[in-house]
Amino acid sequence: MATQNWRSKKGLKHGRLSLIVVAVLILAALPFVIGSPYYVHLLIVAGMNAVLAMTFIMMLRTGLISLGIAAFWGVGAYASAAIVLKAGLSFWIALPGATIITALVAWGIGYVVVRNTGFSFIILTSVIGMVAGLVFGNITWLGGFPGIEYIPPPHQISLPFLPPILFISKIPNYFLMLVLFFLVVISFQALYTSSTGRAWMAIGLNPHLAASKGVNVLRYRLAAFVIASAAAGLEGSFYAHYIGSINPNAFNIFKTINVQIFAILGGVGSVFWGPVIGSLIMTFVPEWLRIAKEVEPILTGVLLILLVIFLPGGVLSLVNSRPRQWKPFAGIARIAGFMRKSSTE
Amino acid sequence: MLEVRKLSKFFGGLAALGEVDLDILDGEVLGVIGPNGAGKTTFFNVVSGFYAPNAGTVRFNGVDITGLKAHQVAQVGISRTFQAANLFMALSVLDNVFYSLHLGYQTGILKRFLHTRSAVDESRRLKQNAADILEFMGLGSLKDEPAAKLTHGRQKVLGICMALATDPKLLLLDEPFTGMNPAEIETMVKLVHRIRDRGVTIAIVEHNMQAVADLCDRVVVLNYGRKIAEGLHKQIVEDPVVIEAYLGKDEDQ
Repeated sequence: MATQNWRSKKGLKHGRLSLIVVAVLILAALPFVIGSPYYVHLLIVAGMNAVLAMTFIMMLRTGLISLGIAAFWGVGAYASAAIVLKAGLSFWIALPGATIITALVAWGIGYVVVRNTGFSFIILTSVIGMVAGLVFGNITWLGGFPGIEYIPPPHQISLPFLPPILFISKIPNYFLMLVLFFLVVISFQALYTSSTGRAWMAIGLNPHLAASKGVNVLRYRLAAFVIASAAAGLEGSFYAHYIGSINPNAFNIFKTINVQIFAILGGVGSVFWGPVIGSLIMTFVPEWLRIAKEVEPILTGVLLILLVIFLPGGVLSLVNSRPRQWKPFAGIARIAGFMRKSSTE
Repeated sequence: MLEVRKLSKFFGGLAALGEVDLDILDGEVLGVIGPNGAGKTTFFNVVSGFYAPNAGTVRFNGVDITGLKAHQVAQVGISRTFQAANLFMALSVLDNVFYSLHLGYQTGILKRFLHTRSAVDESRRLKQNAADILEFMGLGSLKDEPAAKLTHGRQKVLGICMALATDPKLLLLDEPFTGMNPAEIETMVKLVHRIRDRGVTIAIVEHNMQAVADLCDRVVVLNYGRKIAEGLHKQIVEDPVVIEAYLGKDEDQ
């Protein structure tokens, strides 16, 4: 962002446009190049996780650390499954429907919780994150604790010049994920670059100062909470129909903590690239290392600790800062100093 | 312009403000002085909506604004600065003012979200407004610097630029001269005059008596949350009640 000042404005615009075109072409070609459906599946999961990490960063921008993201992801998934299975409507109605329902639920909850900041907000949203699974599980109409099975994949659609698209194999689902991903990225970017984004930034940097400039801090925080939750709900809807089954456990607080790790690993200073890089690494590296599911929490825990100590700016800080500024040994020295201090106390 | 009647604010049992009556007249520069802990900043915090008063009324141009929230007070045309240099430190000097122009947007929120031509033009115009304010206050050449890198004196000036961004009719300056050297004080006095000449009414909380003497048309003295004197600077400094408040109670001055 600010580091690109040396480029002329026009050059920057052209550079960015061609970068976007190349990126979209690469992303479109990717599943055909990869071939393996399993890797395409991982890409789809990584794309969903990246969007969830983006919602975390949106709230973080306004100074709120939410531990309730997975709960709203779950609201979207359950709402969508209910619309298709109970009301018998199409996925293409359930997708926007679930997003709106999630936004309404987030508006009701957010109206109360955004009045709190700092630790109170973290505690309140973590309670939401912990209770959400129990709430879903106790609604027998929504399948209770075993969850809902046999959720149909997105219904087939016909586009001009193409054969009807069936969402049974991985590749159509991959493209649907991409469309939703860019829908979120483009709307988030439009918000960030408008007066709304500037108000969010001002609140995140100094809420009292922002208020003294006429920014309605509560309303803008509520807007961030609702918009972020709606995006999570959108992904939840897709998740339910892509995976085909949901259960309350998938939406517990550990999912939110994972989402935060994606964001922090990539770098919270960046609203899009950080989440993408973070979720790609966290989705693929455990696969390559062939790490069993049981060991994963330990890996993520250790990773989080190492990150906070060595790389507080995330992976992106490696790219943005000059290489000489990266001093891994400074991190080790800091741990040594910290241990010395705590041992003498 | 501002009519404050019997304004009270308690913190626990302590009356930070006790039934303060105070008027700010159209076009004047009013000094609010008093020993440390006299309630001066509390007065600003109540008027600007950061604290709700326990009793009393605040009327601004005839409209009751008692108990409005900080952002609503900014909307009616009262702007304030803060004692400590309170800036968006991570942003550039220009963006500090640009981000403070939140009330300047006229286009609908949907148009701004969709980045329609009118909305984009408006942002551009507001950015130009921000640059104009900086130029007016003598920071034009520093607009691309990070705010955190400015000297303390310039950070204080930037704080006032940001307060001007809400296009205030009444400007409340909380200790604008604190920690400044004589040259910076001289510049700041000129800038405050320049803002007044634009038709902005100003109230200043300040400890620097020379600056108060140079700037203020009228002075109000607070002590222990009560107004103990009011009048021209000349009269105030000879008032035995004021002298006792400063010399008898507080040796720090």
